[in-house]
Amino acid sequence: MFHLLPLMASNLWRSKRRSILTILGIAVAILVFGALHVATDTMTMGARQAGADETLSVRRDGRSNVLASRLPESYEDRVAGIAGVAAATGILAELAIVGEKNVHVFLRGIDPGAYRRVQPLQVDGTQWASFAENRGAAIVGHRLLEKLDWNVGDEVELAEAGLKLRIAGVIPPQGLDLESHVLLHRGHLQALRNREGQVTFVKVATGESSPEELAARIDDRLATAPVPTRTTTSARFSEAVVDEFMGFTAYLRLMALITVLVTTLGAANAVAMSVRERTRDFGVLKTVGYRPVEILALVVGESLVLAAAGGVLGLALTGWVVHSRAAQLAGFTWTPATIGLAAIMALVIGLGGGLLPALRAARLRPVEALRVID
Amino acid sequence: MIPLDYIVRNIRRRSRRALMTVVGVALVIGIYTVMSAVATTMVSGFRQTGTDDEVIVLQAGALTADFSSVARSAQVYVETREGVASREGVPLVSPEVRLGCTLATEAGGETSVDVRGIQAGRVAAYGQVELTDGAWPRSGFEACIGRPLADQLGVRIGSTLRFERAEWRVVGLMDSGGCVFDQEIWVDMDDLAATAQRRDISGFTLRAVDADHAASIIRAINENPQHALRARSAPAFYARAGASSAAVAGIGSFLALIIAVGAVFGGMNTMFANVAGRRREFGILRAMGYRRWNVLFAVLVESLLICGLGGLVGIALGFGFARIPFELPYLAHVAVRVQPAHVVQSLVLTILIGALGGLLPALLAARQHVVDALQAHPGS
Repeated sequence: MFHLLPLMASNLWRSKRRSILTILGIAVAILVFGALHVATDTMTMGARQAGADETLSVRRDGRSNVLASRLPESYEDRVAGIAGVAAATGILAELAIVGEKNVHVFLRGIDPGAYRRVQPLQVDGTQWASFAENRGAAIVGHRLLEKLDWNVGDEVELAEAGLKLRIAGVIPPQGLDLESHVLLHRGHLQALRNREGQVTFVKVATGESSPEELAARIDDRLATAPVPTRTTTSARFSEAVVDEFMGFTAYLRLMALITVLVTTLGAANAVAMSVRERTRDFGVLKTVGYRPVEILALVVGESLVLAAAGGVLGLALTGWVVHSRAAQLAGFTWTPATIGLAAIMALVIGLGGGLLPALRAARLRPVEALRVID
Repeated sequence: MIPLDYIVRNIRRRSRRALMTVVGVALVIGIYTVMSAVATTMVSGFRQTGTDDEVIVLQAGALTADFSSVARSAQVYVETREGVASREGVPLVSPEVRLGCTLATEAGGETSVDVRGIQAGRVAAYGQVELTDGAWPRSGFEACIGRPLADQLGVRIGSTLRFERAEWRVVGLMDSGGCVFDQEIWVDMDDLAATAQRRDISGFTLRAVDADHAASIIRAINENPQHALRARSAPAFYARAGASSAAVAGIGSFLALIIAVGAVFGGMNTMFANVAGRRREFGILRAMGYRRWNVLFAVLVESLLICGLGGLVGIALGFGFARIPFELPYLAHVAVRVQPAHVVQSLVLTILIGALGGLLPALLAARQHVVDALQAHPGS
C-alpha cells in the first residue's frame, strides 16, 4: 500500500486550503476535548489520589452539601472503637475566599497528633513539629502558596474568615489535593467558627478488612446513634465535594462528546467534498488498474493524515493552555490518559470522516466516473 | 445585482454539500442556544432575588448559609437595630436555619433540596414570597413548598416529604415569581433545628423601613465586633450566592463559542469548494457586466443562506434540547426555557459564522481576472 503515499501527499497538497481548514477544524475539536478532559481530570483528582480507595470518610447522612455535614467530635472515638478501624480522626472543613481575585481556599481543621496516622502525608519533620506545637500555625499546600504569593514563615490573614495564621510549613508536590489546602489546628478553627465539639467528617484508616465492607459496618453500627452517618471511601467523598462545588463534571463530559460529534461531521464533510470533486480522478485510477481496496485506502489514508495533523496541532494547543500560569496554579496537569484519549479521538474523527466517502469512491464504476463533468 | 433566484438555484445544485454544512451549523447553533438558555436559567433565580430594603445576616466569615453558625441570642441584637421595619408590633426579622437536604423521591431515589426553617409569624420579612395556597408551616412537621418545585416533584398539599430522618406534611404552596424561594421547602425552624440537632441558627433575613435604613443597619452590624455577624444587602447576597453557578454557566457558553469557531472553518471549507469549482461561471458573470462586488455579494449571500438555514434548524433543535430533562449544576429542579433574547443571540452567531465563512471565498471569487477565469478548466 505504500505506493499510495505519493498520491495521497499530492492530493492533500493540491487542495492546500481545504487541508489547512480541515486540520484547523479538527485542531479546535481536539483542543476543546483535551482541555475539557484535563479540567475534569483535575477536578476529580481527589478521587484518584494515593490512598483514596483505602481510607474512609464518615459524614452526616441526608445532607446534599457534603462539607456542610456536622458530626459530634465524639464520633471519632465511636468510629475508632469499631472492629476493622485502624485509626480515626475528626476533621473540620471550612471554605474561605481570599484576596481580590476571590481565591477559594479549603481549610481543614485537624488534630495534628492523630491526622497523619490516617492520612499519609510527606511534610518536612521540623516544619510539622513547629506546626504541631503552635496553635495558630498552619501547613499550606505548595500550589496555594504560589497562587496567593505566600511564603513559609509568613503571618497571613484571611480577613473575611477572621483568621490569622503563621505558615509553619509546606505540603510539597505528591499527587494529593491537599496541595491546594490549608491545614490548621482543629480546636483553633472550632473556637473561631463557633463550632466547638463539631467536626465535618471523620477520616478512617482501615485495617485488613475490605474498605466497602467496613464502610457498611460503620453505618450499621451508628444506625441508632443520634446522628445518622454515611460512610464512603475517601475517593467517593472527594467526588461528592467536587460535585457540590463544581457540580458539573457530567456537564463538561457531555460538552466534550458533542464537540467530537460536531467536528467529526465537519471532517466528514471536508473529505466527502474532496472525494466528490475527484470522481473523475478515481475513474482514471480504476481504469488504469487500481483495485477498490486501494481507492478505499487512499481516501481513508488522506482523512487519517488530516486528522493526525489536526490532532497534533490540537494537542500542542492543549499543552500550551495547560502550561499557562493560570492553569498551572489551578493545578491543571495532563496525564498520558489525556494524550491517549485525544489521539484516539483524532483517529475516530479521521476514520469516521473518511469511511463513507471512501466507500463511495471505491464502489464507483469507472465508466460513470469518467463521464462525470463537475 | 445578481438575482437571489440565481443564488438559491446554485445552492440547490450543490444541495448535498450544502446539507452537511446546514447540519453542522444546526448542531452548533442548537448547542449554543441551549447553553445560553441554561446559563440564563442558572443565574436568573439568584439575580431576581432580594430587594433593596432586605438584609441577610450570617456569621462573619461564613461563605454560605451552610457554613454559618449564629447564636440564637443574637436575635435580640438584630431586632433592636434602628430602622428595622415592623408590622403590628412584630419586627420584620426572620431567624432561619438553612440546610441542603437530600429528599427521598417517589421513585425511590434521592434529590437535593434547599430547606429553610422559619417562623410562621415572621414570613412578612420576605417581600417577594406569597402564599398561594394553604398555610405557612407551623410546629408539628408541616412544610410549605415553592409551587414550581412542587410541580417538578409532583407534590400537592397533603403530600408527605421525607428528609432529615423525618416526615413532613405539605400544608402550603408559595410563589416568588422566579426567585430562589420557588425552589425551596420551608418548615418550622424549631422542628428543623431539632431534627438537625442544632442549637444555633444559620442567620436572619430582615426588612428595613427603606433602602437607606438597610444600608445603615448593614454598617452597624458589620462594625460591631461583639456578635461577629456579617450583614449584606439581599440582592448582593444572592448575586454572590449565584456567582459560582454563573461561572459554570459561562464555561458552557464559552465552549459553545469555541465550537462555533470550528463551524466557521467548516463553513469556509464548503464555500471555498463551491467557489473553486465555479471559476468559469464567475468569469462569465463578470463578462456579462456584473461587477466584482456583485460576485462578492452573491457568494456571501450564498454562505449566509446556507448558514441561515442551519441556524433556523439549530434554534429549533435548541428548543428541543431544552426539553431534555437534565439536572443542572446547583439547580436540580429548574426547567430551562429558551427566551427571545437567546434566539436573537443565536441568529447573530449564525450570521457571524456565515459571513466569516463566506468572506475569504467571496474575496477569492471576486478577485479573479475575467480573462483568466474564463480560461479556467471546468472543475478546477
